[in-house]
Amino acid sequence: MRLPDEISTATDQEVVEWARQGHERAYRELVRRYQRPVFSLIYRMVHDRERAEDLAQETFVKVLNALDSYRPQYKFSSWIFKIANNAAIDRLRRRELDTLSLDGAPDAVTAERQEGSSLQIAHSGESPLQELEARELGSQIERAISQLRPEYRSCIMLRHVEGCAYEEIAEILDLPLGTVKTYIHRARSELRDLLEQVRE
Amino acid sequence: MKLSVRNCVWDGEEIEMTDNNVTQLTPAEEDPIVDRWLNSLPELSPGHGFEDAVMARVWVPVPHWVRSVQSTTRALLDRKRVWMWAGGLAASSAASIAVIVALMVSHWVQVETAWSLLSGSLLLEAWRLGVALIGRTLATAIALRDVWGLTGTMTLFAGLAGAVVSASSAWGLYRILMGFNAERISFHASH
Repeated sequence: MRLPDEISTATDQEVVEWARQGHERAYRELVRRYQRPVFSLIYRMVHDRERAEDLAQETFVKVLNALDSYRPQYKFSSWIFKIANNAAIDRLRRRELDTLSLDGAPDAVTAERQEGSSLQIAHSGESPLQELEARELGSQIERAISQLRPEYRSCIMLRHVEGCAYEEIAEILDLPLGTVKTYIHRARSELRDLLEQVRE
Repeated sequence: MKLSVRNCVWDGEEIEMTDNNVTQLTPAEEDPIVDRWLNSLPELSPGHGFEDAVMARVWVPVPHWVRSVQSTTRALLDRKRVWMWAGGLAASSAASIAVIVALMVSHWVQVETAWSLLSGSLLLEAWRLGVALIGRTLATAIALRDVWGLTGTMTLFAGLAGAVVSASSAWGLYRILMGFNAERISFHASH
């Protein structure tokens, strides 16, 4: 299968096939497609920018160096999200980072480290007051999400940020479909309770 | 991670959470404010240079065609017989050239005479060939004009094209002969 000049419109399966044939451009395309979703998922699990970048890098290195073991009948996104989620969960187990501050990692002792590990929200073109309010709301939502159990967090991120179907989430997290739906339901209920004052 | 799936209390009734009845959980799913909150979560970008940092740690396999060329080359280079053949060929070529040069140097007068005769006859043959070609071309052009009934303008254009071709050919021939001559002079001067 010949590599065309424009590969951004190709399917994941096609890009993987080109990568397997040794085209570096195909590897880069896979990184470009998934760097934001993978980083977002991991960041919201570990809430530390530096660690999230390290884990996202590890995820990509693991995935791209094992492309031969990828089976095209499955979605590539499911595979990469599964590895990213496992990496984040492993890190959480090791570091016990279940309760984290949005102001940065708990071990962020200097201002630079706090800035490096804190959430950076992109400028949205709103007025300074609107932007401040949006930022405050965003921080509260992120804080509320960080208080959820890790498995709830994974489910809610995959469902609402990455737009995965319930079946796909079940496949990614190796959970029964019913459990996934339960987790998402409970996560939403907890978020609603945690953000009650925002609603008012 | 150990999971503990509990039953859910909904409208005062305890519901066992199974694949079949989770569809009853729609009230929380349809909460528009929770939806809005979750949908407002942005996708975040890793830092600048992330892609390059990943690619620096990724092993990109060599394409099939490069692999096959490499293996063929390696197989060829590994064979001692190939090296022996190549060495023998190179040595015999070098020896032949050395003998020819030695003969030319030792019999220079004869070589020079033979060269003059050869180049002279070449020039004569080239002239004859050129005249014959031009004559034949003109005859063909006249015949074609008569057969196809070409107009005066078309004949003029065809004649011009023919002239350009002839001039180019003559120029090319001249350059070849001049190069030939210059080579002969420099060869002669070195001795």
